[in-house]
Amino acid sequence: MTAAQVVSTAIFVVAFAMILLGRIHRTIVAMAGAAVMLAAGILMGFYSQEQALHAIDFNTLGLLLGMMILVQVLQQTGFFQYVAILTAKASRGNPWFLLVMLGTTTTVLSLFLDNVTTVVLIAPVTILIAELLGISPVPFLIAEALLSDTGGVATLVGDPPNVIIGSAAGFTFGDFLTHTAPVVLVAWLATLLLLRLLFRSELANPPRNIDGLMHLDENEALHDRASLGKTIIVLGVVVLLFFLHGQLHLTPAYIALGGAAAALLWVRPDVDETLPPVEWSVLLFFAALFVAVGGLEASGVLELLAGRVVGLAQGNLLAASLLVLWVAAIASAAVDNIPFTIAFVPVIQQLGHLGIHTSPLWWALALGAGFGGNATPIGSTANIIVVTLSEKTRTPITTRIWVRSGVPVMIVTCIVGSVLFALFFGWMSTP
Amino acid sequence: VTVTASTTVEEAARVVVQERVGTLPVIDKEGVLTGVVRLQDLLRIFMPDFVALLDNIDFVHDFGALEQVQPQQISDVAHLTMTDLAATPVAVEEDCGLMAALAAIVKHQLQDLPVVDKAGRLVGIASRVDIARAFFAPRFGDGLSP
Repeated sequence: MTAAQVVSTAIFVVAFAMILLGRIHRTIVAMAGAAVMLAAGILMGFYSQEQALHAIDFNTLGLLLGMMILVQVLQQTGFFQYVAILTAKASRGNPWFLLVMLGTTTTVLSLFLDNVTTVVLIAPVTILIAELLGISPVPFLIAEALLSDTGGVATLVGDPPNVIIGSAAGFTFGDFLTHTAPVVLVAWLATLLLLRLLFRSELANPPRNIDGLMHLDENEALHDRASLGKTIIVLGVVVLLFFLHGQLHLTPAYIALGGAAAALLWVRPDVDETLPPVEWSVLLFFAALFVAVGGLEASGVLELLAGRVVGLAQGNLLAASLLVLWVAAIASAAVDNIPFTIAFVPVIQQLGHLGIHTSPLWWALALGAGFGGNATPIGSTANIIVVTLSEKTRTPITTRIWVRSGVPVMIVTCIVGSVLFALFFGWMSTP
Repeated sequence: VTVTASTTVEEAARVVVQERVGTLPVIDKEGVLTGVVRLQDLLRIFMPDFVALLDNIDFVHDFGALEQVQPQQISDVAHLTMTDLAATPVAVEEDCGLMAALAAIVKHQLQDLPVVDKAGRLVGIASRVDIARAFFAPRFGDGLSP
C-alpha cells in the first residue's frame, strides 16, 4: 500500500466509524470527511478538486431532489391523509385487514415516491387510527416501515440505494421492474405473512370502538383538490417517462427535476413552504460521501480491494453474488444502507474494469442493501423516522421491539432473495 | 391558590376542580415563584398522541375509543409532578406599568399574569380580564357612570 492509500483509508474509516456512532450528525461528519480527504489528496497529490466534483453522482442527487420536491407539492394537498383514511376505512376496523391495507398503501406509494416522506406522512395518521380504535399502533408502524422498505427494492426510485445502483450501473427503470420487482413481490408477501405470525397476539385484540374510524371523512382531509389533480397528472407523466427513459435517452434526474419544475409552475405553491422541508441534509450527506469515497478511488484503494476479491468472482460468479447479497444485508442492518451502498458501488465498478461481468453483483447489492435495512431501527431512514416518531407517543418502539420483527423479516427476505437469485441466475446476469 | 414542585397531577387536577382556577403558580418554601402550570399543560398530558403529531385534526369528528379515558391512562400520569410540567414563569413585578403587563399577556398568550415582589416572591395573580379592564375603563368608560 502506498502512503496515499493508507492516509485515504484512515480518513474514510474514521469518518465512517463516526457516522456509525452517531454522536455528531452524519451530514457534518461526511462534510468534514470530504474536506479532509480533499485536503490530503491535494497535499499528497492523489486527489484533485476536479476529481472530487466528478465523484459526485449528480444523477442520484437530481433524481432524489426532484422527487422530494414533487412529494412536497403533493403533501400540501392532504393527499397522504386522504389515502390512508380511505384504505383504513376499507378494513372496517379489523386489525389484520388494517395492517394489510395500511402496509399495502405505504408500499405502493413508496414504489414511486420517496420512502421517507411517505412514512413521515402516513405514520401520524396510523397513530390517529389506532388511537380511535383503542389498539396499539406499534404493529402497524413497524409493518409500514418493513413493507415499504422491502417493496422499495422493486423500482429504480423506490429506495435511495437503488437510485445510486441504477445510476452507477446504467440500469433503467424497466430493468428494475424485470429483475428486482418479481423477487420483491415474493419477499413482500412473505414479509406480510411473517408479520401476521409475529404480531398474532396484538392483532387478536379486537378494537374497542370502530365508529371513530368509520366516521372519519377522508374528503375533509383533502384541502386542495385543484392542486392535487395537477400534481397527480405531473406525477403520472413522470412515472410514464421513468418507464421509457431508457428508450428516450433521458436521465432519471432530468425527468424528476423536469417534473418538479412542471409541478411548481402549474400548482404555484408557496416556495417558502415547499422547498425548506426537502431533505437538504440528506442530499448534502450524499454529495459529501461521494467526495470522500472518490478519494478512496483516486488513491487506488478500491482497485486494491477489488483485486483481492476478483479471484472469487472469476471462480464462481453466483457464489460471489450471493456473498455480496448477504454482506450487503448484514452491513445494511448495522449502518444505514445508503452510506454502505455509496462505499460499495465503486468496488463493483473496479471489478468491472478487471473484466468481471458485474450485472449479477449489482442486483445482489440492490437486494441485500434493501432487505438488510429491515433488521434494525437504524437500518434504513424510514425505520429511523418511525422510531423517532413513536418516541413522541405513549408507546415508543424500542430497539428490542424492532429487532423482534425486523431480524426475522430480514432473514426470510434474504433467503427468498437468495433462492430466487440462484434459480434465475441466468436472468440476473442480464442486462 | 398555589402548588409546589412536588404536587402531583392528581392533586393539581383537584385544585382546578375545587378552586375553578386555570393557572397554578409553583412556589418554593420561601414563596418564590419557580414555575407556572397552565390549564393547557395539565390537559395536554391527557390528549391522544395524534393531536400533537398531526397538523390538521379538523377532519376527526368522532374520537371513538378515546372518548372513554382508560383507567390505565389516568394512573400513568397521576404520579407526574409539577416539576415535569411547569414552564419557566413569565411574571411581572408589583410596580410594573399597565402596558408592560398587557404586552406580557399578549406576547405569551397568558390567561393570568403572576405578580412578584423584588425578591421574586409571589404576591398575587392578575387575570387577563383584570388587566384588560384596567386598560379599557379609563379610555372607553366603565359603562357604570353615564
